[in-house]
Amino acid sequence: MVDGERAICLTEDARRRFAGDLQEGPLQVLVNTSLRLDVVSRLLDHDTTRAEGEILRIRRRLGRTAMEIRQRIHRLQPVAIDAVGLTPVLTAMAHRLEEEWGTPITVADEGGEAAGLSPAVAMALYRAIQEAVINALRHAQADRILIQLTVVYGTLRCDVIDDGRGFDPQQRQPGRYGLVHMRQWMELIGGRVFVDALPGQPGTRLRLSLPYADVAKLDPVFEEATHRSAGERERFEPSNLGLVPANDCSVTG
Amino acid sequence: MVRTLIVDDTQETRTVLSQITTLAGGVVVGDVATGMEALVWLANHPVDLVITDFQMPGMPGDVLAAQIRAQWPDVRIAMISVLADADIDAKAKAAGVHWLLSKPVTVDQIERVIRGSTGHGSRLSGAAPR
Repeated sequence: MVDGERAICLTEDARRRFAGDLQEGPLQVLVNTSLRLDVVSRLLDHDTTRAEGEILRIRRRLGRTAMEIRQRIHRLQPVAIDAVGLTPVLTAMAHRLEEEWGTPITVADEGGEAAGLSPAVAMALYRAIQEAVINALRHAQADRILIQLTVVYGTLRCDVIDDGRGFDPQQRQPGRYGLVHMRQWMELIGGRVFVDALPGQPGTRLRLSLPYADVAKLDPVFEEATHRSAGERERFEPSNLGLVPANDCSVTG
Repeated sequence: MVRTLIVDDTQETRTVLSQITTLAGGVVVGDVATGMEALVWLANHPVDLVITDFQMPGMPGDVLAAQIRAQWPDVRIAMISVLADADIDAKAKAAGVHWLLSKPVTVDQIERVIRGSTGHGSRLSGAAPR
C-alpha cells in the first residue's frame, strides 16, 4: 500500500471510529436519558421519592458525559509539535491524561532522542503513542505507565510500558481498533509496532519502532554493530526480545 | 404475567429497559449482555418475551431472533435499534421479529409490546428446544 492510500485508510478509519464513538458514547447516553425521563414522568404520579432519585441519577450521568465529551474534544485537537517538539507535547499529554484517569504517566527521553524528527513524522508518532497510552488506560487498568524514547542501533524506539492486565495479541477483540490505528500511523512513516504481552499476565510493552537516520543520536553499539553480518544483526531485532510484530498477528486494543 | 428477558450489551441500557418493562407491567426474569447468553438463558428458564438490542458484538439481534424463532417459536421478540432504516427493517422481518422499535423507546411502546405478548407465553423455552 502506498503512503497516499495509507493516509486515506487512516482518515476513513478515524471517521468510522469517531462515528462509532458518538454512537456508543453520547448517543447512547441521550437515548438512555430519554428512557429515564419517561420513567420519571410515570413515577411522578405515584412515587415522587423514586422520581427524585432517578432525576439525580440522570443529572450525574449527564455531568459525566459532558466531561467525557470534553476529554474527547481535547484528544482531537491539534498539538503544537512543530513549535515545541515531540517530547514536550508528550509530557503535556501525559499530564492531562494523568489528571483525567488518575494513573501516573512518565515520559522518559533523557537523550532528547525525538528532537531530530520532522514535524510530520513526530505528529504520526505522537498519535500512535496517544493510542497506546489511551489503550493502556482503557483496557489494562494499569497503575503506572512509562513512555520511553531511546535510540538503539539506528532505530528510534518508543516503548509504552504499563503494569496492568496483559492481553493476547493473537486474539481479536471486537470493537477495539487501537492497535490497528497505531500500526497505520507507524506504517505511514515507515515504522512498525511490536507487542510484548500475555493474557492474564501483568504488564504490557508496546514498542513503536522507527528507522532513525540521525547518526549523532545513535547508540554507542551502532558502530560495532554495523560491521556485523546480517545474521548477527538479527540479535538486535525486537522479535528476538520477546516482542511480536503487531502486523503478524490478529490485533487487539 | 409476561416473563421478559432483556438482551443488551450495555449494562446501563439493560437497567433502564428493566425499569421501563416493569413500569409497563412486565416481569423481568433476566438480563444478559450477549445473544449467546440469551440462548443459554432461554434453554434454562421459561420466557414469554425477549427485548433485544439489534447492534451487539458477536451475535446481532436479528441473528438471535432467528435462532429464538427456530427453537422456541412461541416466544415474542421485540428488537430495538438506535438506527432505523430499510435494511434493518428487512433483517427484522426476515428473522421473524414481532416488533421493531427505534431508540429511544417509551413506556407506552413497551406497554403495547407487553399487551401483545400476553397469552403467547413460551411453555417451550426452559424446556428442550424443538
